[in-house]
Amino acid sequence: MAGRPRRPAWTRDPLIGTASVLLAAAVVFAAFSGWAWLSAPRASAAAPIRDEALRAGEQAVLNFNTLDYRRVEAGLRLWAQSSTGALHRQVVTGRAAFEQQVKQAHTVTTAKILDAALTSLNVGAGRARIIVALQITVVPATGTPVTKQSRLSGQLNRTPAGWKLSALGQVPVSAAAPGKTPGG
Amino acid sequence: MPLARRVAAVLGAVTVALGSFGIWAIVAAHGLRAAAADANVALVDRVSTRTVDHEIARAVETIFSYTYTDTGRTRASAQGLLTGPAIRQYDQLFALVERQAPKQKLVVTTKVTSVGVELITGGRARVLVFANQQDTRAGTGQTSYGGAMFAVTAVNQHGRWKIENIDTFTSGR
Repeated sequence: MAGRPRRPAWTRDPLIGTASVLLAAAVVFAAFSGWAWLSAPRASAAAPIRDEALRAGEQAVLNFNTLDYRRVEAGLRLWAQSSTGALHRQVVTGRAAFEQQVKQAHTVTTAKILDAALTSLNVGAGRARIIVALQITVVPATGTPVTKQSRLSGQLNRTPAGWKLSALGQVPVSAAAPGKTPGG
Repeated sequence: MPLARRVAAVLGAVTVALGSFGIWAIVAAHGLRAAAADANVALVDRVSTRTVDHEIARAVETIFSYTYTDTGRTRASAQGLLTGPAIRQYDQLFALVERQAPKQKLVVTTKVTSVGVELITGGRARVLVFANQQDTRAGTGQTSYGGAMFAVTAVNQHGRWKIENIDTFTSGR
């Protein structure tokens, strides 16, 4: 009865055979689905930052085009809070003179955003550019309110207190320069 | 034999664990793909944002630039750049152009100064456009300048972005 060494008896149990086949199938299944999960597209981390920059930019542009001669101090305080860098410095230094101007003119200015979009976004540097299609209504002391549309372009910088405007101006209507590239 | 049963039990437990993971992973992958299909990748996907910028800017400049001596050329170029409601909007607008341009000997050049992409999801995009327009009357040599702003909705058809709608913000304000 001296024969070749045989596998232990338990490994020849049909139960083990079945369990092994099922396990092999499960391994293949897990590997395939694990790969499907790992290779599925992930939501971008930059998207919420983009959305916040646009939202903050729109609010800041709105603030800068809203001023009531009866509440100038509060209005200009909002301008200071909505700005950073060069624009902030302009607001702070020109504040007193501007306050007087508005109070004398007795104007109430309100604005409505028709549409807005970012034209560029640099998440790492915390910079973005925004364009805004704006409708402005100016109610003078006497006479009828004037409503006009305005094309604005601004620069946004990310500060510890959120995205703020560092520059804001109208997009000029000028001779269409040849070779000018779109993109603001 | 007890050993076989114990080993089989262990194998079975591992099988169930792997199987559960597999099912979870399939469901999770499906959820991720569904969310990604709806995601707005404007400015996040730089390549498609740049493509949308360029194609929409070119399309706007093409359809809004014409010369009184050959308005047909502009109309023909516009056909491949428009789809859906924009075709009708443009036809109405261009009918006016075809009547007025020869009378006033108009040469109109439109240049896009700013483009901001608000939305790119799947095959749709929404873009804010600022453009400057230069009108020259060949008869008098007079030139006037104007600024325009409008929102464009575009759809991607066979790899090309086509203008589907133009909103000039003039609807009952």
